[in-house]
This record gives sequence, structure tokens and C-alpha cells, in this order.
Amino acid sequence: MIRKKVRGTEALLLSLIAEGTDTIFGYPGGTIMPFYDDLYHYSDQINHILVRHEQGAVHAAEGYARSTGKAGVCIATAGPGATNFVTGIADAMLDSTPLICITAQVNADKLGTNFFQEADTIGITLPITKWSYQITGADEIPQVMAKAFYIARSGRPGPVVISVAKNAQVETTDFAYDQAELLKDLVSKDKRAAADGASEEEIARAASAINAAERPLIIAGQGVTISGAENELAELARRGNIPVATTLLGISCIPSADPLYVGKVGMHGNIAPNKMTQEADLIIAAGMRFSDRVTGETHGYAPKARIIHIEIDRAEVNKNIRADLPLIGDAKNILARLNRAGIESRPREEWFGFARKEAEAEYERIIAPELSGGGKRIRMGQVIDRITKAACDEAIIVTDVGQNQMFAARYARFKNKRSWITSGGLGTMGFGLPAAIGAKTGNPDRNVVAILGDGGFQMNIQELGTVMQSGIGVKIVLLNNTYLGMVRQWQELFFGKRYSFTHLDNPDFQQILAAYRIPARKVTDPQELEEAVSWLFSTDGPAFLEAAVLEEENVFPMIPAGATLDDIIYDKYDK
Amino acid sequence: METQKFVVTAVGKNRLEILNRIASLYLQRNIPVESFILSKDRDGNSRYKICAQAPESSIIKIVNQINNIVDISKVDYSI
Ligand SMILES: Cc1ncc(C[n+]2csc(CCOP(=O)(O)OP(=O)(O)O)c2C)c(N)n1
Ligand SMILES: [Mg+2]
Repeated sequence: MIRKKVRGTEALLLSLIAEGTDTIFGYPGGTIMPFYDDLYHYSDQINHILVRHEQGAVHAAEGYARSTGKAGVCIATAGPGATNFVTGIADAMLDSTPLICITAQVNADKLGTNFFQEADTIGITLPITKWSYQITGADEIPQVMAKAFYIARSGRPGPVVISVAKNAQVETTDFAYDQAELLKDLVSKDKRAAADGASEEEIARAASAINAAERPLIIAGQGVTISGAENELAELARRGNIPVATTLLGISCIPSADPLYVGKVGMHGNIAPNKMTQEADLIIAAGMRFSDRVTGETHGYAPKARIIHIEIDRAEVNKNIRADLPLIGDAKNILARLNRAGIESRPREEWFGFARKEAEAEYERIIAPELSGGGKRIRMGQVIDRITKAACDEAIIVTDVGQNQMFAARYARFKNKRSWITSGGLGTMGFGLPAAIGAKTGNPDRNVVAILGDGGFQMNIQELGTVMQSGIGVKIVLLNNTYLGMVRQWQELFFGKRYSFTHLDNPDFQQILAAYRIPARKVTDPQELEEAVSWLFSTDGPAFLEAAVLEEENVFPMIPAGATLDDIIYDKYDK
Repeated sequence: METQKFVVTAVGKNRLEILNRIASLYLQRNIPVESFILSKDRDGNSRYKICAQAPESSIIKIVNQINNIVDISKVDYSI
């Protein structure tokens, strides 16, 4: 334990180090200057990545957090620095990502005076944070930071905002960091007891429901990744011979090639797991929250199934979908207990046969035509497929939002956990590039590929500067269809093909990349795609590949907004 | 949906932030609050008491979400 007399900002830095922080993403400014002044002396212990916009810092911290399992840390100045954080914080809240967002604030005695660069950061971010705190005295720093890290990481993780008044940064304080001591009054006892979760009896009831089921389906969400329950999930599936689907955020918690894996559920998910949801007599939902993108219209969801809901956040249980057997607790703990509760295997030949038949139908009707190299134009799915192949299914794939994201979700394959990072709940365009920067920073030895659309790329295109200056070896793939493709798809299907403000006149991206001194290529001919992809991976450091893809391609299958999972559409003539 | 008057009572630390977080849960769901009382109990904890007309299913969800607020130790509802 360290104990010494320090300035508030040094106390902040020492707290971060004591919590294991090795990287922070940030942007300086007037009110946060004392912190940056101390950071100058700590650059051997903390790697600071200078972003180009504070939104980029938050998304980078998210990419870092979700790929490493550690809390991501980002820092900004008061006022506009803090307000630029807002989108990223909201994104992290919806996707349960542990973040420590530190923002400066004006002197405590000037609060509420509309002082230069004063914004009510705490007030603005209250509904989109798991916890927040305004530090007005340096003495508070160690305790608040210990609490911040604990809250961000524990239970269902989330973002925490710490707003540090200028005077607290410059005052001196006695610094001591004894985590256990600092956290001792954190959670009241009865609340902690309640969080302990499912009783033995509930576990036993769930186990017998599983053993009695003829057509069970596991749906795994990001909770499995967050709790590190990948092995326990696989064990339950093996023991019971139960097919496993994932949600969009659950992707990569089970290897794509696992024989029990049946694909992704949801709006653009695979046909088999969506239809299996409707046919199942038991759904075992693990660490997922039945988002509307997963369920479609809820009244028609899983009509034949009893539902076991394994969930750490009690507020999610029975919120969207009825849970017949809620099992409250950490997914790893609950799954391990289920595995010890006598799960029996069954052949389930018909059930797996159903899955196979639907998967084959999807392959023939949708996948094969999209992936075959026959056409004159590059298809988005082909790009993803070739990239996945070239990376031997071992890359971390980070996406933006839109068609690029959905094609990536459909065609990327994974061997390793924590390899899929996408903005699910908030669907934040502009997420991809900075999140990939964060993921690469946390995983310097892995291939990290950003899959971007031409719209979303331009929402945080300034982060190319971060890539250049910090030499971050991300592989950037731009699927350029000259459209806000996903919106255009909806216009085509549901708004009489009126393309209202979805076409983009784009700049010459190659010139932009050249200006940033990042190796770049453009590919237009499907015949040249494979070679271009191998160039991407064989180039040292960052590299950029732009694929000029078929402009008006659509993502299918699709469950239209307001429809149930029974109403899958397979192509544009099918609605 | 059938609505009814419900009183939600939460106990926790005395932090104005909590008041704001609770209010925003009602605001988010567009449920008008009839009264909102913040008082101190004998143990020095703060008691947040909110009365609002809403469907019970919404109140249950709000109660669960209030329970998620850090520094809230207890929450319940009654008619
Ligand atoms: C910040 C933000 N603004 C608007 C949207 C709505 N939106 C969702 S997808 C999309 C189109 C994305 O276009 P592009 O980045 O080119 O990707 P594509 O769908 O063409 O692959 C839009 C505008 C959003 N998700 N996020
Ligand atoms: Mg596009």
C-alpha cells in the first residue's frame, strides 16, 4: 500500500495504477491540465492514447474493455470535452461495458455560475451511467476511484462518470490505497445477500426442466462473455446435447465451428435459430436481455417454450419476455451449478435435423448466392468471408453500424472468445474505428479488423489521426456502397423506394488515407478481392482496404419491425 | 392498461443524485409523479417516497430499476 502526500491529480493517477490501469484514452483542455501535467511524469506507467475527438476516446475505451475484460478508462476536459463523451457513455450503458470516464469540472466554489466551460456533466449523464460522482475535494479521490472501479466492473458492468473539480485536482492530500478498506461501506448487506442469486431448489427445477425438454435451445448473450462463462456454457450444451444460438453481442462466446452452434438469433439472424425459437419447448437464455431486436413482436415470441432466464440483473427478468424459471446470478456460477445438477443427454435427432434443414435452406437461398464469386460487383458478405478466411477465424472483428455490421455478424467466423465487438443496444454509427483502436491497444498481438460503412466511417474519420500518431496496427476495411445502406434498404422495402437523403457523395478516401500516411488500397473487381485482402494482412502496422461494393445490396433474412419471428422475409420479393 | 395509485418507498444514502435517478425512471416511462417525498429516517438513511398512477407492471419494473441504483439498500411498493 502506498501512502504519501500528493496533489489531487497525482492521487488520481496513483488510484488508476492501483486499479491496474495501463492505458487511458483522452484529450486535454484547460480544466484538465493539472492532470496532464502529472501524467507527463507517469508516461512510463500509463500509456495515454491521444484521440482526435472525445467521442473517440469513449469508444476506444469500450473497445479496450470489451476485448480485454478490464475496465476502459477515458479522460476529457470540462464542458465540451465532457459533453462529447455523452454518446459513448450511452453506448456503454446499453451494452454493459465497464468504463471509468473522468471529466474535469470548474472549481467547486464556481459551480452553478455558468463559469467558462461549465456544463452539468453529472446531470447530463445521470440516466446513462451506472454511477457518477462529482469530486469537490482531493481527499475524496482514493475512495471514489475505488468505488468507481468496483461499480463499473461488478454485477452487470456499466459506465461510471467521475467529474473532478479543478480545486480537487490541485489541492494536496494524503494518499493511501487500501482497496478493501476503501470499499467497506459500499453495498449494504441485505442487498448483497439478494444478489447471491438462485437457490438450490431453483437450480434443481431448471435441471429437471432441461432433462424433460425435447426441443431445448440455449440462447447465449454477452453476459456469458462478461462473466467468463464460455466453458460452462459449452459444458452444459455438451452434457445435454443442446443446440446453442447467440445474440448479436453473444457472438464469439462459442466457436463458430462448434457442432452444437446453430447461429445468431434476431432481426438479421440465421433462419434456423429464429425458427427454433418458435418451435422450442424450452429456451435457456443465458446472459441476454430479450431485446426487441432479438424477440421481434413479443406477443408471438417462443409460443411453445418455457423459459429459463439466467440473468444477473433482476430488472431484466420478466421485463420484455416472461421468465418461467428465472435464475438470478452470475452466468458462470449458475451454469456451473446447472452442470453439477445431473443434466442428461438425449439424442434429439429430429431437433438437430430441423436445424440442419433450415440452415441448408438459408445456405442455398441466401448464403451461396451472396458468397459465390460469379458477379461483376463485390458483395459485402464476400469481403467479410475472405477476411475471416485470411485471418484463420482468429481476428478480433470490430464493426460499425448498418449493413456492414449485419454482414459482418452473418459471415465472420470465430475460434476465440472476446473477438467480436459491435455497438448493439445503441447502434452507434462512428463506433467502429475508435473501438478498433481500443481493441488493438489492448491486444497488440492479435489481428484487429475494423469493418466500416462509408457513412459511419465519416462520423469518426478524424481518428485516423490517432492511428497515424500512435502507430496503431488496425486493419481498416471500408465497405463503400455510397449509401447509408441500412436506411436505404428500409426505404427500398418499406418506403416505396424513395431514397430520401441516403445517397452519399463521398470524397476520395484513398487521398484521405494518403494524407494520413496510412497504406491504403481500393478494390473494385471481385477477382482481385482475395489478393487485396492478403495485402491487408501482410502489410505491417495499420492498413486500409476500401471495397467498392454493390450499391443496392440488402441484408437478408430479415424480420421486419413489428413482426414476429414467424414472419421471416428471405428477399425483397418476399414481403 | 389498467392503472392504479402506487407508493414506492426506497431507502438509501442521502445523495441528491439518487432523487434525480429515481425521477428519471418515471420521466423515461412518461409516468406523471403525484408526490415525491425525501426524508431522513431514524438511522440517518434517506427515505424516498414516490406516489404515481401507473399500471402495476410498470411499477414492478421501476422498483427493480430503483433497486439497481448504487447506494439504494431497500425498495418496495404498495397501494
Ligand atoms: C449516430 C447514428 N446516426 C444515425 C443512425 C441511423 N443509421 C443506422 S444504419 C445507418 C446507415 C449507415 O450507413 P453506412 O455507415 O454507410 O453503413 P451501411 O449500412 O451502408 O453498411 C444509419 C444512418 C445511427 N445508427 N447512428
Ligand atoms: Mg454505406
